[in-house]
Amino acid sequence: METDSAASPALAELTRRMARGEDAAWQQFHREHGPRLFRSLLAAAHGDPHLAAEALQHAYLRIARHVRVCENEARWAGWLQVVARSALSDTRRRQFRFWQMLRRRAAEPADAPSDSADNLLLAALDASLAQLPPETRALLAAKYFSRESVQGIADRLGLSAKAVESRLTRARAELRERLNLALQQTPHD
Amino acid sequence: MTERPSSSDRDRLLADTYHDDWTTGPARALAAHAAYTVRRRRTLRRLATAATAIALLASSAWWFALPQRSVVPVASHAREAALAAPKTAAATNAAATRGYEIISDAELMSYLQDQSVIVFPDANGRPQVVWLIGG
Repeated sequence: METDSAASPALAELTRRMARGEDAAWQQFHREHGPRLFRSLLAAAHGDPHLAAEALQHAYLRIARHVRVCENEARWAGWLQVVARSALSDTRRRQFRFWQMLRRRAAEPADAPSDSADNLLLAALDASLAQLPPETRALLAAKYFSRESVQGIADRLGLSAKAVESRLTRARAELRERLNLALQQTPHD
Repeated sequence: MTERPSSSDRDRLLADTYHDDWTTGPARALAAHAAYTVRRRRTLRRLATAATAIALLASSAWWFALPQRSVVPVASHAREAALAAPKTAAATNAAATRGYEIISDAELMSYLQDQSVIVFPDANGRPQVVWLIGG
């Protein structure tokens, strides 16, 4: 987590525009902060992507209701995490009947994604990546870890951009399957 | 992958893994919906503020436009006399210099006993008392 507590004019401008409901600002927020929120929710939801996605939608709506101008990165990140956890808790509450919820609560008393849950998720991701065929893994690494553009990868491999997009889609689907399997086998608290 | 990828890189990979393309795919609708929610809330808040202001202005205008009740009493000279300040030495001296005197109801009644008078309204609607026979 970025712990830069210095004032960030860019964040202040982003939150100001978000508070005005500008589509472009919300897309920027989605691009820059959404993945971290989703990861946090996915970890707290023990790898349930549907629960995480629904909680994320609720979190976005709460952020929309309460967003104010903020120029402190650390405070902003902390607030987002609190909102996300609260949204996940409420989403769970809605999804389960009372007794089911109580039973589940007994099994997992904490809503907050603990560090161990987050580490488990990342470990499962790394393990799933390691299980992928080398070519598939290299393709994902080029796109996500080396941050190569699709066109750049296509030029390097002598393929069309469309073909690289298709390979990436297949690679992500394969990773998703392995990740789901790994998360199911991961012992929860 | 000898170098461990950064946390944000893995965040992005996870997001894309479960949402195809985080930025341009279906997940984009999450942000669009949130932006729409903010705009709708702002519009509703502005409408509510405007409606409240209009209601306040209308109620103020109605209040001030009400016909004001007359507060000027129609009082006779006797009534005015009764309401007058009690006589004092200073008041007596003032009466001597201004040429008339304010008297009490009892004094007026004693003056009017067995006297003929006529009462008529003047230009301002105030009753004027005139002695028909000099006393």
